[in-house]
Formats: sequence, structure tokens, C-alpha cells
Amino acid sequence: MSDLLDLTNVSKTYGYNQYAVDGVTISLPKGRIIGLLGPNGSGKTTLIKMINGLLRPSSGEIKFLGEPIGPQSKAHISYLPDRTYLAPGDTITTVLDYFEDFYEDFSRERAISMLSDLRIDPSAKFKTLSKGTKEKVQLILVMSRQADLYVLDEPIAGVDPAARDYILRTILNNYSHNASILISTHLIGDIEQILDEVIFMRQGKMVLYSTAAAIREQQGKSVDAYFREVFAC
Amino acid sequence: MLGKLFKHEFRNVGRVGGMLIAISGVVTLLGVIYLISPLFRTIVHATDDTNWMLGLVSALMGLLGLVGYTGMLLGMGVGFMIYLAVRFYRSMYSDQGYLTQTLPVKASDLIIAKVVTAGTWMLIMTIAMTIFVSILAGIGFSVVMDVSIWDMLKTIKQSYQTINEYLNGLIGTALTRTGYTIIVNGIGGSFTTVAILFGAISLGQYSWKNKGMMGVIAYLAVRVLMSVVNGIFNAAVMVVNQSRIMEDPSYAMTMTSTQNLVKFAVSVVFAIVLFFWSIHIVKNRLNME
Repeated sequence: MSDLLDLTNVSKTYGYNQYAVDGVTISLPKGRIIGLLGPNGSGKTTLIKMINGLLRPSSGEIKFLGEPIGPQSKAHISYLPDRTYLAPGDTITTVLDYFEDFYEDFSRERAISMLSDLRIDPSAKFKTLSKGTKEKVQLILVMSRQADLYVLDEPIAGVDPAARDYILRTILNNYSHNASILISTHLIGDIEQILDEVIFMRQGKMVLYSTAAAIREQQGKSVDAYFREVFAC
Repeated sequence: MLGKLFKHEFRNVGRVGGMLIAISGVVTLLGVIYLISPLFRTIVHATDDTNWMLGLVSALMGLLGLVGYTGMLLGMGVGFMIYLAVRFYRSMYSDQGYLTQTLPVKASDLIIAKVVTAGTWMLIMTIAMTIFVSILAGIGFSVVMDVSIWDMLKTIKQSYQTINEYLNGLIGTALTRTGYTIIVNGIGGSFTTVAILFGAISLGQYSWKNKGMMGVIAYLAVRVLMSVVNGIFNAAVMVVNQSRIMEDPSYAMTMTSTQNLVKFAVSVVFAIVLFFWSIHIVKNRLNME
């Protein structure tokens, strides 16, 4: 199985010698759901921002399908950030137009179908929606693309348990099995069942990259229980 | 992709730009209705001694109205600039930037679309405001002077030709040249102003914290630097022409046009540098919080 994303000795420093990400080297394959796991401040979001070109690595190299991060990679990576990026005055329809114009792999029909499932009115303005609904809309936009890599930063952090189930179903039902999903969270118990592989990060360093099955087999416990053991305070 | 960026930018900026022009248009229309009303004509041309108080009050009200109208237009111009700056910062470097910066487009396309769209709307605003002021002032003068608009335009044209010939004979330069300089400044100035503003905001990305505030500080610093460079060039122009000015003091007036061109050239150079610097920042130095 060929690799989608290659990170070679990637570091990001802030200020004088403060490492947010420290020498991460990893290759992510196609067709996997990978959990990027770690406590707050472990460098997950910084790493994700670098993969999406929102931050430049201080050193090291990131390549997507053999090419540096740029317009080409952005056309194939579908990114859900850990914040709302929608302008309050825009309607959902406006953003659907936007996605349709810029992403060739975007399916408007799929997005409208998911909005309909959740009984969200496409003519609504974002300023009238609750935080949870905005997050759902963003997830719908992201999962309505036929991307090669989905990068989801804390997709279930701000929503209620019922919505979490819907979000996980949405992720599972909408990604192509040739694609991969890199999903960052510290709510491991909720997503453990969908993970193929896991990456543990601590203080900017990658401390583990393994399959979820191998952790369960070798450690004799769930990924969540093992995470709690590794990151016990 | 550039065309799609233009489409969305033009529509979004146009919502506010169009609204401001519409408001100015409505206020201008109300002003015109008042100026052509029999009430205004009666007040202006009142000769009866008993109406002097009414005339004074109306003159004061007219003056206040004129000040208010000019203030409104200036406020809208400044407000639109602030809106453009805030919108640029938000859509590029704050939360909304997470969408903008992950679009599959080149950094240069993003900056080109932002600068050209904002510059075009600035130009449209400037033209609209100039037309509104001209209409209101023209009708006002026509009523006060009790001449028809067409006669007044004819008089302005004749006066312009007379002044033009006089200045040409006196100082060897024509009003037309100054007029062209103003037009070039007006058109080019819309785009250079926006490129400098957006470039300075982008410089804020070099800071780790308070990037918006750093962008404002960078803008002020750029403006100060431009003034210094302008001052140096203008002083140089005056020094080079010193002997001629000593011989013929009226020659100093021709310097005004040259100084305006120098000022414009300096702003073009700064705009070009900051334009490419913005592209470099988005491409290589992006530092999203």
C-alpha cells in the first residue's frame, strides 16, 4: 500500500527553542483511519496545521503524494479545523456555492442530503446557528468531498453524545475506502471503535505509532485504557 | 481559480460598498429635493426685510447640512477603508482564514483577488462620491446664483479655459496637466492604498502574538516611512530647481505637479514592494494562530 503523506523530521519551534512539534517522522498509508491522540498541548493541532499549510515547519519536510504542501495538496486534503471558519453573515447556501466552485471533489447533493437528515435549513445564516450546529455544518462540508485525505481536528469535542454518534456515522459512511482519515482527539473512548491505527503524541514528540489491534493484543487493554496509562498525570 | 476568487470577493465586498453608495445616493437625493424645492428658493431669494431672520437660520442650517453631508461622505470613505482592512485580516489571518488559506489556489491569486477587488470598489466609491458632491454642489449653486444648470456648466467651461490659458502663459503649465495628475492619482491611488494597507496587515504575521495590532503598527510605520521618503525626494526636486526658482518665484508653482507625481511614484513603489511581500508571507511565512 503506497503512502499518502510523508513527514520527515518535522519540527516547529515557537520563540527561543520552544518545540511545539519535535522531529516527527511518519508515513501515513492510504485506506486507514488514524487517530492522532495526545493530551492538550501535545502538538496535535500544530502538526495538523502544518499538514494543511497553515503553518510552515521550522525544519523538516512534509510531502503529500510526493509533492510539497501547496495548492495541489489542498485540492486533495479535506480539513476540519478545531474552530468555526464560517463568516457569520453568510448563509449555508453561500458556503455550498463556495465549496462547489473551489473543490472539484465536492458533492452538493451529498451535502444537501446530510443537511436534510439533520433538519438544517440551507438558507439559514451562520450567526443564527448554535455552536454545535455550526460544527455539524462544517463536518458536512468536509465529508461531502471525495478527498484522498481527511484531516479532522477535534471533530467531536464540542457536541453532545447523540451528535457524536451522528458525526462518527457521517465519517464512516462518507469517506472513500481508498482515502485515509487522520482524526485528532482526546476523547478516545468515543472514537476507538473506528480507528485502524493510532499515533500518540507527547510534548511535541511522537511516542507511539501502532495499529489499534496491536495495542489491544499486546497490552491486553483498550486504546483508551492504554492511553490513560501512558499519559497518567 | 482566480476568476472564482474575483467572483466571490467582488460579491462580498460589494454588499457593503453597494450599501454605502446607496445610502450616499439617497442622502444626496434628499439634498437635491430640498435644494430644488420652492421653500429653499424662497429663502435664498428673500428680499423682504422681515425674512432676514429666516434667511440667517436657513443659511446656518444649510451650512450645517453641508458640513454634515461632507462629513458623512468622508466618514463613509474612512469607514469603507476600515471595513476593507478588517475584512482582509479576518478572511486571511483569523478563523475565517482557515478556509481561505486551505483553498486550492496560489498565494499570489489570493492577494491579487483581494487587492484588485478592494481597489476597484474604492475607485467605484470615489467616483460615486465625486458625482454625488458635484450634483449637489452644482444644483445648490444654480439655485443660489439663479442660473440654469446648463448656463452654469457653460460658465465653468469658459472659466476653465481662461484659467488654463492664463496659467499656461504665466508658469508654462496647464490646468489640464494637473487634472490628469489628479485623475491618475485617483485611479492608481485606490489600488496603491489598498496594496499598502493589506501588505502592512500581512507584516503582522511576523509577530507571535497580537498579529492584528502588529499589522496596524506596521501600517502606521509604513505611512511614516513613505512621508520621509516623499520629503527627501521633494526636497531634492526643490534643491535641483533652486536657482530657477530664485530667478522666477512663480516657477515654484510648477513644482506642485512634479511633487504630486513624485508622491504617486513613491506610493506605487511601496505598493509593489508590499504586494509581493504579502504573497511571500502567505506562501512561506504563514503563521496562523
